[in-house]
Amino acid sequence: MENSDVLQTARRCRHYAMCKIDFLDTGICPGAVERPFVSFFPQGRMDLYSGIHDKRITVTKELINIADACSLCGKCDKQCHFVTGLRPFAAMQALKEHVRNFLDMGNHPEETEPDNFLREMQDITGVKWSSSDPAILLPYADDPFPASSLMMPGYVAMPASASEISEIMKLCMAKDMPYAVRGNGSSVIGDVMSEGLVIDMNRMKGIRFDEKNWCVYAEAGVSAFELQKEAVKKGYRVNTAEPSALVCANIMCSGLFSNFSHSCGTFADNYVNAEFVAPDGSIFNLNQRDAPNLFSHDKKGTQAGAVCTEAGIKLYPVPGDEEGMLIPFADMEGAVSFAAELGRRRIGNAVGVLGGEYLSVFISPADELARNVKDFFSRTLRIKYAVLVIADRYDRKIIHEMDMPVISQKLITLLTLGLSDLKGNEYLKMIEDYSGDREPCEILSDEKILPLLESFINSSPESLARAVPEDLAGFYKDLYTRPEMTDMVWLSMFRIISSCMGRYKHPVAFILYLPMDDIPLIMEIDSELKRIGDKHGIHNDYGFITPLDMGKRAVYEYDYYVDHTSETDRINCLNAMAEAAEVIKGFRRRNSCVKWIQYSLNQGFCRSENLLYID
Amino acid sequence: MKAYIDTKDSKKLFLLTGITGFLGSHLAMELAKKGYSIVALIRSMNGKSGTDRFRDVCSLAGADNDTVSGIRIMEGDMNLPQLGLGTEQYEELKDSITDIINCAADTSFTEKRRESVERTNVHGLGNLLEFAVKGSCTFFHQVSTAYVFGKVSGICKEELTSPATFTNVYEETKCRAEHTATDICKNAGIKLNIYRPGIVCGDSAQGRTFRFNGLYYPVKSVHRLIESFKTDLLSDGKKAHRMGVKMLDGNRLFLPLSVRIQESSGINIIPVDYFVRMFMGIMEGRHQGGIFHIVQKENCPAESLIEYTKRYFNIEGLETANSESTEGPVERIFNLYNEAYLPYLEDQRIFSSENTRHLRENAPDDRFTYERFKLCVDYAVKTGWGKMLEKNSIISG
Repeated sequence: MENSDVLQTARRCRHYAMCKIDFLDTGICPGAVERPFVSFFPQGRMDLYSGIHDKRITVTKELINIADACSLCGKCDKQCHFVTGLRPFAAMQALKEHVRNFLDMGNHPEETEPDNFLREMQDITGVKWSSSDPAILLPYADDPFPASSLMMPGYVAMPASASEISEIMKLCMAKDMPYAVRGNGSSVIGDVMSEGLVIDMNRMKGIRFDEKNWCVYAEAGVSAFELQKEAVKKGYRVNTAEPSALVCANIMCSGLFSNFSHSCGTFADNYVNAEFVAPDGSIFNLNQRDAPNLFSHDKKGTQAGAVCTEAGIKLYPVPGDEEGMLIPFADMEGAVSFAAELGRRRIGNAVGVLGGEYLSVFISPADELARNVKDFFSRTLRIKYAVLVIADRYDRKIIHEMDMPVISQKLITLLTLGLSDLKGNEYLKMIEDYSGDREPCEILSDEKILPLLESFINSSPESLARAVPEDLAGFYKDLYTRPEMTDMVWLSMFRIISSCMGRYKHPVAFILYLPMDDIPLIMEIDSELKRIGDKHGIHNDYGFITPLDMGKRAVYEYDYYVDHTSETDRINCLNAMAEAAEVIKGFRRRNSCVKWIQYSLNQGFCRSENLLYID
Repeated sequence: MKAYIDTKDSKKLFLLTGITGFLGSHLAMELAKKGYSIVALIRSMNGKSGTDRFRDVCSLAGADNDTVSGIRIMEGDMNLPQLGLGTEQYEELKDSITDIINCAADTSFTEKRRESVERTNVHGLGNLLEFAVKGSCTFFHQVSTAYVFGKVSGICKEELTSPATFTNVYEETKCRAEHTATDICKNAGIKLNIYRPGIVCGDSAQGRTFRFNGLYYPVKSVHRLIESFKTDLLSDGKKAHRMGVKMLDGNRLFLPLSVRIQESSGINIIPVDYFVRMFMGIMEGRHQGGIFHIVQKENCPAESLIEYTKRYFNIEGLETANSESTEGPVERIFNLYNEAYLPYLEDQRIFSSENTRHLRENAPDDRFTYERFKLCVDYAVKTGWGKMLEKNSIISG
């Protein structure tokens, strides 16, 4: 790889922190196991490599440790390629090389003398868990969010417990030190930076089950993926968000929502209790009579207050006969109506109206394949939207009785593993040419015809692996041999597919709570956000809709995609965001049931009713 | 034969609709060749002007540019009030048109397109008839279909019919259109010819067409199935074998597919040039109006079509079956795919053609033989069942 390509790759890191979780069973970066500061993960090393190039940092003592910790095992390439298509391995190599060359030339690393604040911090956390070394700080200084600008913190601390956080809070208060609490980074508005102290919660990985009360307590450093994994081991499920998002941070930031919010709800519906450290260092939990009222919702928005150190998350039973199914639609109106109907009738455990990006980019491991797949779904099958339903056998039977064409789990597996074989397939040409009364996908999904499809489509892990670079083909073949990689239940629970949403560019999500009985309004909002994105030349697409509270409300996402390394794209996106914000406010004035998550940030512990039903 | 219209008579001006369609384009070429004065009403579509669409279709139909250059193109839409023309243009046109040939049709069989089919075949016709009545039109030529008789068997005569049920929305709307045209023309004193062609295929010389529905659709599905299985058979053939598909001696393929037909069922298939020749003969020979079946004297038996298909693709296993036969995956896809066309393989309608008997006398034998079938399918395969034509043109609906 050319140096400029390496640099470009390093700059394009989306800060999704997917390299910080073992979502593909590769194991995480071994260099980050001992000291999980962001800098030790591939994400941090990419930032450091571009930071060196931009002369933001020089070689420091910690940079040498960071470079040395990398064993060039190549796990980063596998993980990052799956999510973004990037190959960061070359950046890891380049960073090591830079440090080696620096030392070989007889240079000495820059050393940072600890000041009093740092020493006091280190007294609390232990020396190695608080730092002011620029190589530790830099990866906490930036975020791909278009409105973010570089903000180098003075310190980063990684406490291990609520009591350590309490001490840190007291110290910050005493020294008037500003701080930001960071989960895995990249909050929806890039609100994880501080000029003072950044508190990284990643050492707090405790998970404690209270099964008789259907609850699991997760400390602040537990990611959604890690919690779900432990819950699943015990036969339960939790309603969590993006796999790399830390559960407590996620609740704090925006509340938990996913396609399972159809049955599990959102905001306070998903936890039973939580522990916090207040800015004065006092520790409280939500079941205390004198605890601050975090159940309320202030429609004008609020600033972050206390630090969540642990949350008791509800456990949900998992029926053993659940399967995923997709119900295809040619238009949004039909899809949203159907999802609302599922909401009203309480059918299915997870429901989400998915759009074109999900049905192409997210499920394809390579760019060209994604384009073919998009074409296949939209042109051959005439599917623009699909309602994903995770349902037990009784609910699946009901859906079949609703006389809808259904893309079954079996067909999903067949198509996913056969993605490389969809273009130019003779049999599929037949479906494409079909001009009868049925929808093409109805023919494709006919149970009686499935054996034919199995005959005609080369559907196998080997076949799918043909789409990726040759050196990754073996890895992808092994990966897709695992049944869960095509299992809609597993993929939805762990949010693995949607983690690929930043494949091309960083997504800026507009998340709204909307009245689901007003479908024309939903469509109008959707079309306005599209119009604005198009007008500003920003790649944009519908995200998803999930019914809430029996289809009375819905959580809706629309995404603008920004190349955060391009100033033009960033400015265009900011302009689009500003215009979209005004339009959303206009809709809000027209209908008070329209709620923008912008005003719910830092209020994710609130009662869902307070947000959804109080004007 | 003496032409009813003196082509040199500058007082005669024809309005032709559906000129970008299969029949309309071929009729336009013939009319132009014979020196008729024609105004063609064409709508712009998918960003293409009517003129561009006409140019595309002429190329597809193999028209000679000099011949069609005399056709005057008028951008309009018969589905709209005033045919989509400005008031002045509409007034001027209606006062100058003496004859209207309506070839415009939505030939979709699917119920989900009912609105569109009704719009063109019934409402659009209404607009055109209104234009005829208001203006100086003296003769209306309505291109219909022989298949307006609905779900019946036996002899179908050249007269108006009012069946209780139809095979599809196309047949139904064409039947309704005949009644509408008859009533309005009768009241207005406009002469009316109704032309009822059978199922039209490519021309008798090259099998050339740019419409691959009707006869082509089921044959195409067999072709696609064969090609799909061949891909597997060229590797290890395991999947094909599971479906009972295998290679036989002499590069023959065994494709186990039972197709439902009825005893003595068949389809009346005519080449497009046969249609044009008969149309012109009727139009130029009949002054008083009437209903005319433009059909073969005999249907092509469904059984023969199946035999032709076997022979053409060198396959075995393609058999006829009654409706009680078990439906395996291959039959299932074939039946679902051809749902709209299968009723025609079981069709037992026989079309009398007394009114055109005189035109068939001394005419070449146009029966739908294997050679004709081969010609048509050769052309279809060569053009990728129209895909290669689509790249360069609009192929309007």
